[in-house]
Amino acid sequence: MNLAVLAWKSARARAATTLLTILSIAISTALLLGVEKIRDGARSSFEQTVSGTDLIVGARSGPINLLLYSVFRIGDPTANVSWESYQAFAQRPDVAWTVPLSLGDSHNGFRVLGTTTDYFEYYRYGQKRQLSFVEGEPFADVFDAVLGAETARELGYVLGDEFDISHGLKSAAFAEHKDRPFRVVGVLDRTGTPVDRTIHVSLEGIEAVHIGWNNGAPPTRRSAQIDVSDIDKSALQTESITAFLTGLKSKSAVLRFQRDVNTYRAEALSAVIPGVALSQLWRVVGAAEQALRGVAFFVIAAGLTGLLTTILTSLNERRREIAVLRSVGAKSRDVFFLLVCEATILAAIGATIGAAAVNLGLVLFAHQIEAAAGFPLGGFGLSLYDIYIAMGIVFIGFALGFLPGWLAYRQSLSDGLTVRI
Amino acid sequence: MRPEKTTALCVDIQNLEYAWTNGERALSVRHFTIQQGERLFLQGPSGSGKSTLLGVIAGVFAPTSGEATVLGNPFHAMPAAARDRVRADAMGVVFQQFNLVPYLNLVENVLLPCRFSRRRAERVGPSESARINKAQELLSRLGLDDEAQANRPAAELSVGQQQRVAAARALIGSPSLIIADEPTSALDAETRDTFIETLLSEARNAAVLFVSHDASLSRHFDRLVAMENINFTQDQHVLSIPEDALSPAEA
Repeated sequence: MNLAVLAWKSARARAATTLLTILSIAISTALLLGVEKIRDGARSSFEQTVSGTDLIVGARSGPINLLLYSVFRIGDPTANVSWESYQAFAQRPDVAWTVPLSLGDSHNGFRVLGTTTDYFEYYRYGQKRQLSFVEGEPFADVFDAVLGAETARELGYVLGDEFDISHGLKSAAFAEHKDRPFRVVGVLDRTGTPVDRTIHVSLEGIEAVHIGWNNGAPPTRRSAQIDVSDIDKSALQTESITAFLTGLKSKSAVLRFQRDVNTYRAEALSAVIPGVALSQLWRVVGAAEQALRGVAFFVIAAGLTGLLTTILTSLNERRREIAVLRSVGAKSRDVFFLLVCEATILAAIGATIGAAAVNLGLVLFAHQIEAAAGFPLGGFGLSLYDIYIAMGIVFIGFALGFLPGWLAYRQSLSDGLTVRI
Repeated sequence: MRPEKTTALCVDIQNLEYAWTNGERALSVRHFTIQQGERLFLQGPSGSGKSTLLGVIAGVFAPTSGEATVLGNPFHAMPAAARDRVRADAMGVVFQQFNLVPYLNLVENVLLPCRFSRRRAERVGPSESARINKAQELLSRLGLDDEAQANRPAAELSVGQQQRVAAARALIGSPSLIIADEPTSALDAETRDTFIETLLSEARNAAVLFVSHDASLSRHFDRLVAMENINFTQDQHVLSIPEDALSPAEA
C-alpha cells in the first residue's frame, strides 16, 4: 500500500537509526527464541537423564532425594541397601535386569561409582541410548576404572593412567587410599548426563578400597593399612550397595514392584519411577530456566522500547515532511498510519531476521552447541512457537506505533500547512 | 476543468471566525472571495492571520463559525477527511521552503498528490508510466529538464530548484486552486519574477492565491488584497501566538 511504501522509504532515509533499531529487535528476538530452544533441549535432556530404567530402588527417602544421589550423584543416601535385600528383588521372576550402584568415594571431586558391567549394558539415557566407549573397554579387574567423558577431559587421564580414590567428596577432607591405585581401562562417550562426571569401578574395587575401613560404612578414623598385594580379590564380598536400577520384563509390573519395595518388611526401602521423579525435580531446577526466560522477555521489551524511542525522536525532524504530506492531501489519519506502518515494518523485519538467525545458527552450529551444552537441541527449523513469538513482536510493534502515530496526528492538526521551526 | 460542480466562485468566505483552542480569535473575515481562474495577491505582514486563512481555505483548519465554501464545497459543514480529499483532488500548495519530501526523488515528489487522490492521478495519466512522463515533462518546462536530475533525491537540490519542483507538484493534475505561501521569499529578485511568471503561465485556468509580504510582486496579479482590510480581529497581538496563548488551553 501507498502509506507502507512511504513509511519504508522514510525509514530507509534514516538508515543508521533504522538499522540499529532493526538490529536490536532482531537480537532480542533471537535471544528469546534461542533461550526457548535451549530450554526445550535442556528439559527433554534432563527428563531423559535416565531412560529405559523402570524403577530406582534405594533406602527409604523422598523420591527426589533418591534420584539426586543415585542418578545425579548429588548428596548422600540416608542409608544403604543390604546385599540380601538387593538379591531378593534382583532374583524376582518379573525382573529383567538390575544394576547395583555403590557411591561414597571420590577422586579430585569426581564421584566414584561402584557397579557391575551390566551398567554398560543396561543403563540408558536420552532416547534409549546406550553408553559407548570412546576408547578402552569395561572394567574387568578390581582396580580397573572407566571414566566419564568430562572426567577424562578435565583430569587429562588416558588409558593406563593410575590414580587414587578417597572416601567422601573432598580429597583433602579424608585420607586418600594412596596404596590402592586404580588404572584407567576405558573412557566413555559424552552423554550430557552425570555419567560424564563419574568414575566407574567394580563393586569389588569399592570393597577393596574399604578393607580395614570398618565395613564400608563412612569412617571418620583410620584403620590399619593393608597392602594391595595382601588383598584376596576373590574373597571381596559386597555387603551393601547404595541403590539399584531395575528393568522389568513387563511395564505392567512396575506399580506392583514399586509397592512391594515400599512395603518390604526386612528393610526400609523406596522405589521411584525415574520419569516421575525427574519431572518433579525439574519443577525445582526449572526455576532458574524460568528466570532466564523472564530475562529474555525483558530484553524483548528493551528492544521494542528502542523502536519506540527511535520513532519518537524522529518525529520532530519530520514535522515538515508531515506538513508537506498534509498539503498534498494526506489526511490526519494517514499521518497516524504512516507512523504505525513504520513501527510495524521495523518490528516485522527485526523479528524475521531474529527468528531466521536463530534457526540458521542452530542448523549451522548444531554440533558445536550440542557439544558445549551437553544435550541435543530438539526442533530445528521454524516451530509454530517461533512464529507465534515473532507475530507477537510484530503486533506489539504495531501497537507501540499508536503512540508516535497519535502524537504526529495531533501535531499535524495544530501545525496546519505551515511549520515554523 | 472541474466537471463535477459549477460555481462562479472558487473561494467564498462569509463571516468567517477562526479561534485557537483557548478561544482567542486569529481570524475574523466578513467577506472574501476568489473568482475561478483569478490571480489574487494577498499581502500582509507575518502574524496578520495569512497562514490561518490559508489553512482554512486549504481545508486543514475548520472554521470556528461562519462559512467557507471552497470549489463548491461547504468546508464549514464537512468533516476533516472530506476536506482533505478536496485538497488532494483539486488544490496545489507551495510553501516558502522545505517543500519536498527529502527521501523521495523529484518525480516521486511531483506525483505525491496522486498517492492521495485517484481522481487526480487519473487526470495526470492512465498509468504510472504515463504519469511519470507527465511529471518529467512538467519538470522540464519548469527548467529542470535533466533526466538524471529527475531521479536525484530532493535533498540535493538548490533552494530555487526545490521551489520549482514544489511548483510542479502544485500544478500536476490541473488543480482548480493553487495556494502559494511566500514561495519566493527564499529566492533572489531575478529568479523571483521568473518563478512567478512560470507558475502563473503553467497554472492556466486555475485560480492562484499568492501570499507575500512584498507588495512589489503584486504587479503580476489581477487583484491585490491586504490582510488588514479583510481580517478584523480586535486584539492583533494574539496573532503572534503560540506559547502563552496555548498554555491556558492545555491546563
